[in-house]
Amino acid sequence: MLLASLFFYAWGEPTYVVLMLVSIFANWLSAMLIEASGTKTRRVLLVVCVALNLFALGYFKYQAFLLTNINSLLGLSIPVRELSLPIGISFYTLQALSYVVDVYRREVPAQRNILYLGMYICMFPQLVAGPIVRYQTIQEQIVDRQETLNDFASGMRLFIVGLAKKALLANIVGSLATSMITKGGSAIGTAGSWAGLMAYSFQILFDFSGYSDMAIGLGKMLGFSFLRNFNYPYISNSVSGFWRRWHISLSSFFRDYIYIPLGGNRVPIGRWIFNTATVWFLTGFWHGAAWNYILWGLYYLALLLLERFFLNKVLDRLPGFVRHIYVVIAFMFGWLLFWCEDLSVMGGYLAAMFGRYGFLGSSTLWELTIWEYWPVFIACALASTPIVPWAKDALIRWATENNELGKPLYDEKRLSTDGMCDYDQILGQIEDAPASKKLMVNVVLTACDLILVAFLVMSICSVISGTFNPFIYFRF
Amino acid sequence: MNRLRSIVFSTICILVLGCILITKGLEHSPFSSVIANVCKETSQLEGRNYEHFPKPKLSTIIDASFQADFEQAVADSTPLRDQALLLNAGLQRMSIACANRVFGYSCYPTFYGSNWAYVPSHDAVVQKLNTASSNYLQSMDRAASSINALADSHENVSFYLLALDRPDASDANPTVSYVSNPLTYTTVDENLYSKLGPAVTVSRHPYLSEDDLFSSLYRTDHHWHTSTAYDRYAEQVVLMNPSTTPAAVENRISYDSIDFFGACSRTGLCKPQTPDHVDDVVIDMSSFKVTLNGTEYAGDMLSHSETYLNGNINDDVFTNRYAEYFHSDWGLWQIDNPAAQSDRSLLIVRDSYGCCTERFYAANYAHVYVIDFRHTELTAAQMLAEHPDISDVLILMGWNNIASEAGIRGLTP
Repeated sequence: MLLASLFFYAWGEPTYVVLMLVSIFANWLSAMLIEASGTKTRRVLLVVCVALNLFALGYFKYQAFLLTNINSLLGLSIPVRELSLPIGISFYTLQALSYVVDVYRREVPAQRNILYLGMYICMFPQLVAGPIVRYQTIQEQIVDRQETLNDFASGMRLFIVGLAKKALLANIVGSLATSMITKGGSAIGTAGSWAGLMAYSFQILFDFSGYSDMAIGLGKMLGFSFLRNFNYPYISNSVSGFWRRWHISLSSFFRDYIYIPLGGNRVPIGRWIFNTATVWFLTGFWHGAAWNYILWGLYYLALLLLERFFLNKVLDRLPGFVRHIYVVIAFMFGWLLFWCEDLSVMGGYLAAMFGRYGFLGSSTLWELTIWEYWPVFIACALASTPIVPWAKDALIRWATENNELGKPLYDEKRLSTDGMCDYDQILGQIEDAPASKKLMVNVVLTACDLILVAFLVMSICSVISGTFNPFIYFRF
Repeated sequence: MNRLRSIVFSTICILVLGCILITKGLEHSPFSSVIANVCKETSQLEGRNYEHFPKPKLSTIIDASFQADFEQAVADSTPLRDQALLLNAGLQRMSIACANRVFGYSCYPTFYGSNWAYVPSHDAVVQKLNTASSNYLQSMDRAASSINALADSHENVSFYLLALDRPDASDANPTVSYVSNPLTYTTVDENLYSKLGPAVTVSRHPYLSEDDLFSSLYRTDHHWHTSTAYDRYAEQVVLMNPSTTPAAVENRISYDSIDFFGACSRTGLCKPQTPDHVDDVVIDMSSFKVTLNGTEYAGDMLSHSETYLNGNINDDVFTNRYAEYFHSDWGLWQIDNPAAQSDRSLLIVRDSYGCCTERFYAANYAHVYVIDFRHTELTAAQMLAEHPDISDVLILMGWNNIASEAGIRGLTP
């Protein structure tokens, strides 16, 4: 597995594989030393190890941004090196940090076998686009895991779901989004700019959650159980709820390794605001070395503070769909900040959204092409709701005539991937159902598999076509 | 039951995902002939040869070019790749057609992001019109200046321009009312043809309606039918020399049993329900001699009627039949006809529209020199200096090739 992962990484980054090997060795050694050291020494070792990890991340990811800004602010001319970003460095750095900090906290024992630790840090399914897997989640599976036929099949199903999200939804709406931002506000008007932003909102959801599903599915095929990373974020009724469902592995990383160590919410209000601001500044900055990402993080800080002090009281009194509309508008404007690295482009786009260039700008509706996408938008809207878990629960309820099914799959607190594409679990729930109903459920499940095979073929055709296959999470 | 389903499902998925490895493994097996049908070396649809797997070298691995080439070879090794491309575009077109039910446009893109549109009423594919950008207009202006200068500097030579109406810049293109500030024949006329001086005689032939356009051109290709080309020739040659008569037509043929999906179909990844068929206007070419790259050929190398009648052709429906039946584009060649109606010489400056047309002029001119600036560095001025016998120059190109860098270079004196 380690060799496969290193080969996978070396395939895309032949030179930076050395950096990966150094990272594995440094973190393995640090954790071993931390575990074996006394209180004071271990703290120093932790600081050194964290600093080394952050230095590597900072050097490759933030050096150009920081030096450019320092130069323009102070009128200096410090040379800026244009470095290509090692793929996945943001993800594997956080994974390595979480491991070392967990060892420091004595929450997990240090891994003595460097090969096992190497496998954890550079595990290929989630190396490039996450999720950020904690060592404690899979420490036992690294040494001893069971690959079963059922897990393989359910992992394959989840992989196909992820691939279809990426190839059949994200790439298609992505072509519209890119077309709109490229043409610019004056050409696309209000209709084009809103459609483009909606397309981008779907693109980023299905692109990122698609990769996460593929990673979790691949892990499952290989006997690993990763926690879920997306839990239908677009159905949220509040911005804080949105962040409990979006990129869960990152939110929980910042919560457990930044927010809580800073004191969490059991501190005076001023300190709490500082803690929250730190987390959101870092969240924005982690996503990219540009001002718009920092603005994006601070935008969510402002929304969360508003919710905490004011909006929640108002929202609680409003019907669910109004709250939902508020969240949709909130995250769409958030994605606009995320999308436009050039603030002048963002300004032009915002002006177009609010009618500066008329309804269609300088284009015709046909030329804008937004009309072509409404069936895809409907598919995206449906796919961003838990329609499949709802259908699954309805099927089980029908078969068992039991309305008490426990927490649904889309419950905000449900983090395990059990039940996602796992037919054994569904069949286990209908064990006592009449034979005819069991047969019907089996027919439905077989039909689902046929649909998935069709999705697989269609996704492969789409990938082969390669007409539009951008990878928007390359920055991370 | 679930175990069996898991086995079947996993096996099918592995077979689908591993199809490249499987077909590569079977290439040297008794099933190799079957594999050859699904894994071809060349794609007529994409108009290119597929990449072969590269040999690894340390330097290419480190600079990642080996990986890129390997990935391209993997993509090219996909069994039934053409069908995969068409299926993907077809599924997207279904979605667009569904969307169009609400809007009721007369044509719609062939896939998301496509520059080609499917026209259901004519079962045709056309390129979307471009916007008349300042770059295009400036190029046309430069081209007009070049042609004027060339004509003015050769007073003893008559210059003619057959102003073709290409479907991608036609007022009859079905997308004309859907594109803002479209570049049409009218635009080209205003910015190119009308700027030519009195030394250049321009023959304008705009299509008057969609029906006119699709009956004059192939429905899946941007070229004209040979019958259209002949009609244009017949008018043009009399204009150039009123005492001459157009070449006598021996036969008009349409090869209806041979399917043809043209360039618009290939690039737009759209295979209309009804294919096109190559047509030809047969004239007597028995006295023609064609000289290409110093070698002399008989006149029938300009249209492969015999080959088509024998059915000895590429069986891929996406073969470029226009080039296959007539000929591909060359830089410079010459058609001599001792039995021509006159002993005059003509220079044809052409693009692919000329493939089915040049030979007709050889019935009227003893020497026809044909030049295509896309495939030679020679210029029209050099040709005129080299061949003082040339009395007429015919520019037979679409606006896009006249106003291209190669076109402007070739037409500059």
